This record gives sequence, C-alpha cells and structure tokens, in this order.
Amino acid sequence: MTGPGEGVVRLRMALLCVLGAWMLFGPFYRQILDGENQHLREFRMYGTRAVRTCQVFFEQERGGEWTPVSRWELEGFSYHRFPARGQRMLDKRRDAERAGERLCGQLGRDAVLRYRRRCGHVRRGWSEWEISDDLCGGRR
Amino acid sequence: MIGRSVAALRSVAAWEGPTHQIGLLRFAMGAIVLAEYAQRHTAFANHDPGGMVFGLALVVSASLMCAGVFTRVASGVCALCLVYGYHWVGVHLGQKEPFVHAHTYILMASVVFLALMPTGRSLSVDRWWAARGGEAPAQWGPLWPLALMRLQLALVYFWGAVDKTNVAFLSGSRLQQMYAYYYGSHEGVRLPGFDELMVVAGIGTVILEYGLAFGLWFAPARRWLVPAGILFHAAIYLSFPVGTFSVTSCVLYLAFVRPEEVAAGIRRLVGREGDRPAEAGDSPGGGG
Repeated sequence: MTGPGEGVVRLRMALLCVLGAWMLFGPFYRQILDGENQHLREFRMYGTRAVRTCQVFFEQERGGEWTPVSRWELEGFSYHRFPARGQRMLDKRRDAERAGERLCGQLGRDAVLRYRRRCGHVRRGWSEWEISDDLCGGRR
Repeated sequence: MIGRSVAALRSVAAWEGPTHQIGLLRFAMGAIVLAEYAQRHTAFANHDPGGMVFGLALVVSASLMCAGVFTRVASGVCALCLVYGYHWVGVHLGQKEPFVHAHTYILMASVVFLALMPTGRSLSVDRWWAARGGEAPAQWGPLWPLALMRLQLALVYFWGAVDKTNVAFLSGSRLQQMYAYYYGSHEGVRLPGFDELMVVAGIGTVILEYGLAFGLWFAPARRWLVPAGILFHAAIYLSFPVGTFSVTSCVLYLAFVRPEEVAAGIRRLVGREGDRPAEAGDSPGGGG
C-alpha cells in the first residue's frame, strides 16, 4: 500500500490547521470574548432554558410561628394531572402575589400569609431570599 | 517544539488505516441526520419549491449515505446540505429552527468530516456491488478527518464544562432550576434529598465533562470514561429535550477507538462461514 503524495499531505495539513483553528477559535470567541457572530459555535448547554426561574414558598403565621403552606397541595396539583408551566411556576413577583391572594381565600379570612422568594441566575445561582408583606392584608 | 508539532501534524495528515470504522460512523450519522431532519423536510412540510429541493436533497443523500449507495457523492451532498442549512438558512437568513443548535452543529461537523473520507469502502452497498463484480477496493484509506471528529467532541465537552464552571452550576442551583422547570413547580421538585442530589450532580457533571475532554484521548481512561459518558448522555436524554445530541455524542466515542481495533472487532463479530456447526443444512430459502 503506497502512502499519499507530498502535495496531498500538505493539503491535508493545511485543512487540518484551518478546520482545527475554526473549531478551537469558535467557542473561545463566543464564550470568552463574548462575540456574537453565530457562524462560530458556542457550547453553552441550556444557557437559554429555565433561566430566571424562581422558587417561591408560602408561609402562614400560626401561633407566632411561620409554617409552610404548599400551594401544590392546596391547588390540588398532581403528577397525574401535571399543571401547565404558567400555572406551576411563579417567576414574576406579580404572579407570586396573585397566587398568594388566591391561597388567602382558601385559608380563611384571618389568615396571615407571606412568601419567601428567590430567583436563579445562570451564573451566580440563587439570589438572596426576599420576603413579602402579609398577602392576605388586603382582604381584611 | 515547532519541528515536533509539524511532524505530529504531518503524521496525522498521512494517517491511513482500515475503513470499517468510518463505515460504521457513516451508517450511524446518516441515520441520525434522518432522525433529526427527515420528518421536517418531506414535501408536505415544505411547500416552497426551494424548500422541497433542499429537503429532497437532504433526505435522499442521508438515506443513501446510511445505506452506502453512491456513498462518496451522497456523503458530500449531505454535508453540503447541512452546512447550507446551518450557516445560510439558519444563521444568515435567521431561520434558526431546526438548524442552529449545538447538537445540529456537531452533527453537521461530523458529516463534513465523514465526507472527507472514503466512507463507502466498508459496510456499504457500494462495496457489495463492487465485490460482485470482483473489484472490491481495499478496505483501507485516509483517516485524517477522524482526528477532527475527536477534537470536535473533546471541545464540546471542554467548553460545556467551562460554561458550567461557576457558582450556579456547582452549587446545584442551575440543575434545581432546570428540573423544577420541567418536572416541578415554584416549590422545586418534591422529592426528599433532591437538592442535595443536584449538588452532587452539578459537581459530577463538570468533573466528568473535563474528564471526557482530556481523558478520551487515552486508551486506559477511555475504558472508564466511555461507559460513564454513555450513562451521562442517557440520563440527559431521559431528563431533558436534547434532540439527537446524546446519540451523536455516543456514536462519536467510536471515533476515538483505534481503526485497527474496530476492524478486528467487526471480524470477530461477523465470524466466518466456517463457524457454522457441521450438522447445519442449507437455509430454507437459500436455493440458487
């Protein structure tokens, strides 16, 4: 079996350099230099999904202590009837307030309810907890 | 230093070996292209003439590539279609779906590299036809683009790991957010120990991705990394909508195996006709 000629080897060497440089430079340009040319590829898996997702926990005051209230249970959510994303996620403050006000109706007129809320950042992780005022105050 | 680099580059450029491995890769990549694009590029899905021609060229070339019919031409056309779809339709014209994703980029790059090799010399209908005419070519050829396929997969892992090397991912919070988004609610995922599991999964993912990026190049490490990588991709595939990313990555592990080992493995798997037990008769439908 004879090997490839010198010209062919040189052409392949040039192709290896060009394609290799393209592959090496693309992610560096997009991810380190924050370049925006989309002909070059970045490899940020899920950098654009589930962003700005917030955790919201409702708490009711009972006998001077804050005890957890599960909206999942009170609203009757289940994995058999998995709610739509807009129902089960409360990513905006206004959504959390509205959901809290609905819970107030279920908990009774004198309930004192608040939420603890924190939102995710793609790089910095969870933010600090933010605690609301009494969500049922407007009903009394 | 420069002299040694040039010598290494030259040895890669002159690299030739058995073509069984690229036959397997060709078959798998053709099937993955069909799985990714075929349904969206049928005639009824594209009513404009340009889209129909493009869809037809992509689906037919990927099918022929998969079967190994007119393989060099089919591989070339398939590669051109994928490059056109990604760079022209997707990036230039801004029609990002279904072309501009990380997994479709990896698929495109893999098919381009395959098209630069004699993909029809092994495990193809082309070979079968040539063998019937007594002119089957040697199952041997240039393999230098395999080095680029390896580099591509290593870079996917490396830059994926770089992107995850931050507080959000290593603390598990990014995974908590993603699982809550797909499986849970604003209360997170309601399983005991779930948050702790996400911390372990976050750190483990980053370690594994750096390990795959550098370790796949070394045979002793591959023995452990390939099964771990396959489990990792299976977990991602079952958990999130990642399209063909998992299967493409797993198929690309094959590019890291020495071609001689793949050829020997296929010979061992297929066996010889003499492997038949002595008492076996002719096949029922095997008349001349």
